[in-house]
Amino acid sequence: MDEQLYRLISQVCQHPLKSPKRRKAMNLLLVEIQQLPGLGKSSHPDYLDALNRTFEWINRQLCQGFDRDRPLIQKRLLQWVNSYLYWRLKDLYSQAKGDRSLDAPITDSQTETSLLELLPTTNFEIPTRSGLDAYIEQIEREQQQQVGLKLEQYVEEDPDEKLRNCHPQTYPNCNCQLLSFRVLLKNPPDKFSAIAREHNINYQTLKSHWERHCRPLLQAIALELGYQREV
Amino acid sequence: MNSTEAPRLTVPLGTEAHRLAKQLATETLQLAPASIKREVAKRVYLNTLAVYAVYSYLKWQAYEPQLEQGDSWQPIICARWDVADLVLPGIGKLECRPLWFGESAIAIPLEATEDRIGYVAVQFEEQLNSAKLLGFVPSVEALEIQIANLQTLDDFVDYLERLELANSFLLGDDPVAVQVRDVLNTRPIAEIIAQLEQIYCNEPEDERAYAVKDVFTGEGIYAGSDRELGEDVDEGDREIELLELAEELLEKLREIWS
Repeated sequence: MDEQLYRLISQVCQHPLKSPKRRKAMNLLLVEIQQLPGLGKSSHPDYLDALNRTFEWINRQLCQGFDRDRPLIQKRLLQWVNSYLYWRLKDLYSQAKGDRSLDAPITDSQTETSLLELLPTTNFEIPTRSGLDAYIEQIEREQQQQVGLKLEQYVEEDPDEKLRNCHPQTYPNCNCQLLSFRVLLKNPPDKFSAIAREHNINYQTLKSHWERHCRPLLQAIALELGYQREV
Repeated sequence: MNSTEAPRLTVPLGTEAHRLAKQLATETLQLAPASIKREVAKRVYLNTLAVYAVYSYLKWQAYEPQLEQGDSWQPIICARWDVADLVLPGIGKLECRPLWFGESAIAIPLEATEDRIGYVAVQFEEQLNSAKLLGFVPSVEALEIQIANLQTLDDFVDYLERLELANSFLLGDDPVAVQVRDVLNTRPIAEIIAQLEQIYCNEPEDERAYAVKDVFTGEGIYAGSDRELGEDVDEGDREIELLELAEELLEKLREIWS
């Protein structure tokens, strides 16, 4: 194995980065490295990113950063690769946790495992093939919630004053923005009867203003924000 | 190491790949027709992972792929069309097709055939946290790719090299290149170079010039029937001119690709 790796690394390093000969040798070397027993393994999504970047780094650093002329190539190559993985994971860790230093020694693959345990469990999920339909439905629900949040924000800001300018003639206070707040966003919602009493407006007038003007207006805004009606 | 032991590289697909896939799937859900939007979002999700897998491999190999230049990056397009393209500037557009473990062929939708230089097969299993690169085929006419007919990643490297060399030649100042550009006019150069490469590699030497001339005219069949009718003398002269240009181009390609 050491001999095979020595041969491949030498081939890679005989040619410039972008030459076809180097790239073909790299095809083989990458396959070998991916199969090295002891290469850090984990299904943690951040780890997978770190591993992906590591393969790009290997090609660019191998020839100046790794000494292929000393014995025990396989063992040292593994250490070299794993230590880079370790640093990438450490970056991810400090990004996630704020810059806190982890003064762990970087001598063997044990370290990567312990660092992985320290990596915050991400709330990011990688679906499986059989779970993909359910995952798409979940994305759809999240998207609906997002529209909900955007709608909430829109009601609060009412950027074009569409909601504020829509009110029963002599009752500017009973506009659609206020009503949306009170009967839609507020939890629990206010009763129309309470709002009518408060603003001294006829209950039916208020109720029909909501139903005939405010509700369709909100519906139109939601559509603009990305809400889609189920058919 | 012989070709039956062709390397099957595994690409890890982590947060970044899945975030992109999720983002495009989310946008698709808003843009695709309601009755099929989930199906389309699922397709977009897998296509994005396939594109990302090929993108990663190309980065490992010090190529410079551009994710955001592809149609597969545009929600309004991928919500409508089944495309998984990836742009390699100066070389052309690759189509990255996903398939499941165990499948023996990939169907290529018509919309994923325009201006493509080749098709890379990306295999997924139950766990979507990695993908395998099975191999590639150069630009195809068939709308189906048999996995058994895939070429290796080594062939892929050589193929991309030939296309890159021919691209920089054809975009340069050489009189032959200038003439060829003039003949091709507005047609996509990258795709045409892929066709030229196929002619060069697969056609017998004495038929290459005719095949290249047909690429120049764009529509080989009509050009052929015109020639048989022989009605238009100018047309005949034009044919000869093009054939001469084809010969000259082949000579240049021989120099570049040898």
